Amino acid sequence: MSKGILFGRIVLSALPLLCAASLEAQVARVFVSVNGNDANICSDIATPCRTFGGGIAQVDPNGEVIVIDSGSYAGATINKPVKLNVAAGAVAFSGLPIVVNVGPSEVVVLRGLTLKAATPGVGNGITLNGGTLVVEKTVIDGWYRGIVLSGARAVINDTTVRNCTEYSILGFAALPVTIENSRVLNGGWGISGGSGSTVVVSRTEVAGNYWNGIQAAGPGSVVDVQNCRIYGGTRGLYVTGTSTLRVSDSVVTGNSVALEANGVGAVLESYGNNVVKGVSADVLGTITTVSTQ
Amino acid sequence: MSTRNVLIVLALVASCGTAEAQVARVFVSVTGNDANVCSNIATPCRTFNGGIAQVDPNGEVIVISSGSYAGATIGKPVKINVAPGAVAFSGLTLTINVASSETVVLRGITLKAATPGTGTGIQLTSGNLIVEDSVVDGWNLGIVVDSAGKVFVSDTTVRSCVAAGVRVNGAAVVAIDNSRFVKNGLGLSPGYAGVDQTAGLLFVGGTEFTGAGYSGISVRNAAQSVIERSHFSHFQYGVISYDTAVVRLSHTTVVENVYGIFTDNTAFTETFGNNEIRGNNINFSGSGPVNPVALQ
Repeated sequence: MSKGILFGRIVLSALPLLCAASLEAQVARVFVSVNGNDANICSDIATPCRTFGGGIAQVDPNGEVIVIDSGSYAGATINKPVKLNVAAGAVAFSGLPIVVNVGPSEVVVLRGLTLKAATPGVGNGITLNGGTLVVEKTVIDGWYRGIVLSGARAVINDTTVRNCTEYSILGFAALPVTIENSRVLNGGWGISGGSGSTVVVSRTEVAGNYWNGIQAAGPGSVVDVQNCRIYGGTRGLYVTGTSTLRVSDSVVTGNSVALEANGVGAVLESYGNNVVKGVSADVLGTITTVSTQ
Repeated sequence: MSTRNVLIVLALVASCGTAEAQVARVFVSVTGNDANVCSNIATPCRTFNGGIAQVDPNGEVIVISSGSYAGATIGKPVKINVAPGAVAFSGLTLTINVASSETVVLRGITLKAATPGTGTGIQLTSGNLIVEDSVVDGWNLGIVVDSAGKVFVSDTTVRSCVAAGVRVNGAAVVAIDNSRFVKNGLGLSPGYAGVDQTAGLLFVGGTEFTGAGYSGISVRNAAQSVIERSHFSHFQYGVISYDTAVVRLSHTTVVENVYGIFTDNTAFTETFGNNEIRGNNINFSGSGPVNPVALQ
């Protein structure tokens, strides 16, 4: 073997390492597949990672972890700002929870996941402990709590939360939460704004939850309900403690009690444009009607 | 076989047993085999029933490719979840019979009667049911609810079912959201309908009902319906109530039917002053009251 060929072989064999090093500095996106391996260089779609965690470890902060096919992906603890994005057409399943804890100015996006508790009624599907969380087009099923929110901010769109035995969506600190075009079905409680959270719920169906459909239940919590359907629970809309709940353009029917304001400091405002019909009572407590402008 | 080998085999069998005790999800594909270990996506099952047999109660049966999957008899709470982009077809009935505390989820399935106009697409005998993103076509009855549980239907299309798209017989709470009912209820007597409700509570939101057909929704006996942000057109009767039934209508459009709203003499209809009921040959008919109710 000539020295030239030997040199060439050394350079070629070192090339992947060099590429890996230079690519790792700029990994805007990685790929994850059920056929992958977390030891791969996952920025190459031909050599994807196997798990969410593997992809998250390799991608840059604010990078995208793209799940390219159906399979089971084993939960994740997310400590840096990333976006998990499941290709439309794939079911990216996890029976283990997603826990998000990033810096106050950082954002995590979860798009298109299917989260179902491995042991029914146990654990929280998604827990936000720090930072901003955006959940899109996701199905969360069969946990103790579906989505538990503290941290800086949460936005939930096009998402179904069902069959959770306690709270489906729970605001657990003084953070803004926006829920739009989603469904909350067959849980214990539906959507609960507690602990000073400020929650806006629009164009959302909340049906068949055992206790309250939507409630403002913590000191200083505010919940606005617009163009929603709240069916078939113990109370449709409920406010207690020094909290405020406002409702507009919504249908609240088939609950034992449609609207209830309970106790000193509980404020329930209606814009006078709602269908309110309870099974045993339409309204308990004081409702203040305010005009639209 | 030596004693030692027998022990090894026994140990392996025991380990299979423990693996089966934690099967949160299985995979089903048209290229699979029900004798496979279907928790491995590389060795999926072939049929819904094969997946259901292997998954834990409350587990997920994930259908990963287009094909025909041969109905199912569902006797434990499971979730059939079809990957968007795949057509998971069945020409045979899905029958669900689980405990009253248990829930079955069907997401993304396509059910079309093998023999047009016969049989039932989904038969809920007992338990709770969630149907999402599905198509139910060409049965005698699309979905039959005999259970007294909870039923949630969303983003689903029910078409060309001869007797009714959905028939509710049990004292169930049924919520239908953002769905379409096209050309169901092709007979000429009460009960032929997009949704025929003979008991329970029905909530319909954001849903399109269009003919041909006898009625969009018929509400009978002591059943109650709340219909909101929905459309009814091109029927003999848009919304029809009999017996001691109650219908509540809000933000709903009932147009271009022969009869818009029919209220039988012992039934009653409530309207919230925000509906469009015009352009039917007769907008309101029947001798029962139509009561305006104020929004709050």
